[in-house]
Parts: sequence; structure tokens; C-alpha cells
Amino acid sequence: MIKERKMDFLKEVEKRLDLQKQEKARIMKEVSAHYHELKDELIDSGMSDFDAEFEASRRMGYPDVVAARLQSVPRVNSWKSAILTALPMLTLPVTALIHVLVKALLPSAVMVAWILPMIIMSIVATTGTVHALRNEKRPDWLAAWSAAAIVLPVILLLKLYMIPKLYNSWYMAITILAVYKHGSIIALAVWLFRKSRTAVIAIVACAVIGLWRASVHSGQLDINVAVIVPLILMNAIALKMFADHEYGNISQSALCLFNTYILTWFGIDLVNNLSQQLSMESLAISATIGLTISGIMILLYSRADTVRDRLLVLILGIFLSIGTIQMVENAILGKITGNRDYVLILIMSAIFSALVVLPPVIFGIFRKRRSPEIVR
Amino acid sequence: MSAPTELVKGNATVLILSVLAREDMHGYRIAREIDRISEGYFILGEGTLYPHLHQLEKDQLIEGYWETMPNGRDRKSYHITDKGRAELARRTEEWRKFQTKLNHSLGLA
Repeated sequence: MIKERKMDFLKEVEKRLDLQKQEKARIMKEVSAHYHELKDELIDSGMSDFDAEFEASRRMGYPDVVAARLQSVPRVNSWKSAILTALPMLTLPVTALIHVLVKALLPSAVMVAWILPMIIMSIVATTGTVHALRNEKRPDWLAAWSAAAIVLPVILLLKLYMIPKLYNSWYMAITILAVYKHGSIIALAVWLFRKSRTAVIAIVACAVIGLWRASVHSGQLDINVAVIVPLILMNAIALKMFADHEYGNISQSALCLFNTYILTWFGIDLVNNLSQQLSMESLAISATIGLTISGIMILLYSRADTVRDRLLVLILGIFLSIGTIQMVENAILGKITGNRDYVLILIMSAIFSALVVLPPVIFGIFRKRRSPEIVR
Repeated sequence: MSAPTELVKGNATVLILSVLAREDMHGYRIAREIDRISEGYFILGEGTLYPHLHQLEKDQLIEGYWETMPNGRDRKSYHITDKGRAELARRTEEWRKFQTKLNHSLGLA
């Protein structure tokens, strides 16, 4: 056990660095020089080679902690990590596109064509998550994948069996979903930042969004104008605050948008099941664009190194998202009915939100617990 | 007795700049030098040292360069820039003011 630890220190640190090849090599060269210098000094002081290696490893600290700190300055994630993180988000648009294509070409196979990609992605996400956990790896994409492993089967179940049976009304569902959508993002932000000022800003913002949307639903404000505020807030919190926070990373940023768009999708499903007058194709295309944009934004943002680049990506994302959500919400709001089934909708929305929000929360707690103080 | 962790973390930048202001050094020696001049009070772990060095380099307060040692092994040394010296002077002055006011508030001055 002792021998294993001393021999593997540098390898263990290298394994945990989620950086581009060149950047990783540069950091490892420096850490390796430091390690060997420390070891040489210990040998000069009279230690045996074996003891010096063990002592040098001990003084350097836990490999996962050292690696986490070493990559805190170069914040650009690797392409592999960014693509893997965005993958669960890109599942739904791919599924929707397959649905639209198959419906046009082979209407009899439409259900299979829709369900099959979802099942495949559920299996892939679950296998990847279990594999990473069994190997005691904690890559950045793990949180997004574990969320997908939980959420995708739930979507399948909801779509196939529960939604058509449970809901008689969707007017309140849309409103409550919107509140949960923003609320869960804000709850994540407050949990991550743990500052009273942030909490106050988040609560006020949530209240403003709630009132804003209530005004929209009662016809006092134009929906096209109304969606701008929540979208700016959602994107700003997701991309800027989460990815740049000390404990934040691109994975939490991806999850935040995943949560947002998946709940939008859930709303669309709800509408589609209750109002056969809606065009599935038009809604699927709108959602496809929205989900694709969020995936692309995550990819771009994770690669942007300067503040200017990140701001450009952020502005681009906000404008594209506004256009997309305008289309989706206009379609939904055009079909409002009068029935309200508050309790059931509230419970379903809470369960669904918890399923999406809990994995990153647990993941974050776990990461913090594994990161003791690094200064000895 | 060593300094509280947060105190070391918060002042790592100025400690690194202050030792580099004397001469160029590599990472390992910077850590040892800080340990030596503070008589073991400030102990900078590698997990803290290197992120700070990289951040300082990114901010152009120090410059890194590789050199080869007699045993053939490469190591990276750091050199403080003019911008780094100006930053060190600013922080030193800031600390002097803070110390004066704190002493005054505590009735020590």
C-alpha cells in the first residue's frame, strides 16, 4: 500500500488533470521537477530512496487535491470533456429530429423511432456513470451524465404512461413549471455561492420573474418582450456564475441549461398530450433548436479563454435563445384552457425538478468533502 | 507554530513576489525560501504554490523560463517583472496602512 502510493503520485496527479495535452505536459513537467528536487533533498539528508519517495509523496499531498488546485488557473476544459458534458443535452434534439424524419418517411414506426434513441442514451449514460464511479474517477462530465441516467428514463415513463392519464389541464402546469425552472436554477446558485447578498438577489429575481410571468399570462404584457428577462437571467447564471465559481465547473453550467431546456421540453410534452391541435413537428423543431443552441453554447463557452470571448458567447446565446423560446411559448400560450389541477401538477413538477437538481447538488457536496485544506 | 491556512492563502501572492524580488527562483526554492525567512510560520503547499505562480505569470507579474540543471533535469524558474515589482510595492504600502490602522484600533500603537 505504501509502495503503491509513493510510486504512483505523479501518475495519479496526471490522470486527474482534465486539461489539453500541451497544458497538462507543461504542468506535469514542473510538478515532476519539484517532486524530484524534494526527493533528492530528502536523500541528501540521509533517507533511503524508498523512504524519500514516500516522504516526498506525503509532503506533496493528496493527488486529487493537488490536481484540482493545479488546474484551477488554466480554466479551459479539454474538447473531450466539453463534448462529453454537452452530450446528454444533445440527446433530446437528436431524438426530436429522428422523430420528425421518421414520421415523414415511415409513419408506422414513429413510436419506436422516438423511444429507441432515448433508451440507448439512458443505457449509455447509466453505463458511463457506473463505469466512472467504479473506477473512482470524478470527471467534469459525470454530473451531467448521472443526471441524464436518472432523468431520461423518467421522461420515457412520463411520456408513455403518466402524462396523458394524469393531466386534465396544463395552464397552471406551464406557470408552475416556469417557476420551478427558474427556482431550481436560483436554488443551485444560492447553494453554490452561500452568500446572503446572492440569496437576496436570487429571491428578488425569482419574485420579479414570477410577477412578470403572471402579468404575461393575464394578458398584461406581450409574451415576446416578457421572455427576455428570465432568459437573460438563466443564461447569465448558468454560463457566467456556475462555470467561473471556485467550486463551479462546466458540468454544473451544462446541468443548469439541461434543467432549463428539459423542463421546457416537459411543458411541450404536456401540451402535446392534452391538445391534439398542436403541431408536434413545429414544437419539436423549436425545442431542437433551443437544445442545440444550449449544447453549442456550452461547447463554445468551455473553450473560450478570455473575458471578451465569453461575453460574446453569452450575448450570442441570449439572443438565439430568446428567438427559440419565443416560438415555443407562443405555441404553448396560444392553447390555454381553463381547467386547473394544482396539487397533482405541483407534486409532479417538484419530483421532476428534484430529479434534475439533486445530482449536481450531491456531486458538489461530494467534491467538497474530497477537498480538504491543501495548505499544510 | 504555522500561520492559519486562510492567512497563508490570502497572502500567497505577496509572499511569492517578495522572495522573487530578491532573485530568480524555481518553485521548490520559492516554497523553501518562504518557509526559511518566516522561520516556518508561512508554509506554502504545492497545491497552493503552483496555481498562484501560474496566475501571476498569466497576469504578467512574473515570467517563467526553463533551465537545465547539472544533473540534466529541467526545471522552471521565475523572474519578477517591472509590473510585478510595482504590484509588490502597492501591496506592501497597503499592508503598512492596514497594520497601522489595526494597531491603532487595538490600542497597540
